[in-house]
Amino acid sequence: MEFDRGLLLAIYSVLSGWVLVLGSLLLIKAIISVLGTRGFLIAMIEVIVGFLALSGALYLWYMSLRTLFLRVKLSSEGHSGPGGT
Amino acid sequence: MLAWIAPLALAVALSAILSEAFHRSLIPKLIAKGRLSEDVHKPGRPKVPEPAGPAVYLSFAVAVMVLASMTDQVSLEAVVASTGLAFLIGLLDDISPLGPKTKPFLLTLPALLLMASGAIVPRPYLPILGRARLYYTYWVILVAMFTVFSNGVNMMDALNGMMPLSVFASTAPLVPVLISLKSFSGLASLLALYGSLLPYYARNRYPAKVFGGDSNSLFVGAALASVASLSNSEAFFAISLMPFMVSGFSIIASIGGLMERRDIRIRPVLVEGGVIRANPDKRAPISLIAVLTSDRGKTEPRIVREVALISLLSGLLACITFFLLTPR
Repeated sequence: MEFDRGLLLAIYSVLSGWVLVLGSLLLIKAIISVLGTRGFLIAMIEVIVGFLALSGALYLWYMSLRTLFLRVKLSSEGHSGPGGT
Repeated sequence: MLAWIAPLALAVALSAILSEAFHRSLIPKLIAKGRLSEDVHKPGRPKVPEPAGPAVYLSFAVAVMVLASMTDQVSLEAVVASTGLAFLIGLLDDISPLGPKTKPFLLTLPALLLMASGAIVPRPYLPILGRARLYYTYWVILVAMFTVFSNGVNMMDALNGMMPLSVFASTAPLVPVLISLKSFSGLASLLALYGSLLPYYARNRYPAKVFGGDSNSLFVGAALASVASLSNSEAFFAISLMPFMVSGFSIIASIGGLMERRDIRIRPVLVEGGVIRANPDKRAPISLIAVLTSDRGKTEPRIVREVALISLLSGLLACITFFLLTPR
């Protein structure tokens, strides 16, 4: 049976995005439990670290998707022109 | 909760009936005035009337306003005003295209209007963390959410029936979330949106008899952002709309900035004889359609079905995240 790697890649993009969002929220929870929630400065640091964690996760997600996308696209049959099935 | 059933049923029925009537009245007028656009993914590039956005928005607005007058929910009036502004920005873009930087800037205005209405409480539910108190940063997130959702929905409006079907598939699993949060205005707005989109979907699905235009997609994006913020379920809507973000964010990241879809020089996909496949050029931007067709060429209806499947998956993930991974 031949897998549709394009569909698998699209499912991967959603699942990996979801895991990365949850991972970055876990990191924020860990930071909150260490620093606490009292004080404006600490709250600001937590918000900034939270945004950095989410942005980093988004960047990782995009780079992994791009790498896999190019690999699938350039290795697929008939990649030298339009048409296909 | 049982008291909600009658007004919610009225919202869906009224918006669907009005949308059907407005579509029947608007489409012949668009054809008579020559407001037609090419369907570029079909052989012969047939011309299709555009935009149907006014029929979809007006039916939504009337239904929600009727509901607001019956239930005294001021937040419903705020949704109509905010989404109306997004609709007008889209209509302006349909008539005379706005620049790639002007449009995202203008799309902050519906968020500001909703903010000014006082209907929003800056305490979103977050997965893992529970209910947050974001009294300072929330407003920046709200503005960004309106722009991201509206542009995401706009990017998703690329193939026949793709946008409305994906909206249904990705947000339907969030209906139990809105019920659990007891957000009447959020649920009423979402169901009225479904009602107004149904007659549009019947005409926009393959082969399309009408296109919505930016007036439709920007309004739908703003409506989803309004529902998310009214119900404090922003994070769950963001998860459920992940396929929309894949298209929007990947295109922006791969072309290195904001650009109009029509101005992208190297197209993400190529079309030949009704078959769509990813452009083999390494510099071509990544879009969800390009990802789905990276391995093999596919027909338009097949891609739309697969996008709906991916949207349903992300909607279910959002629902699971709320019920299993969110402290309440």
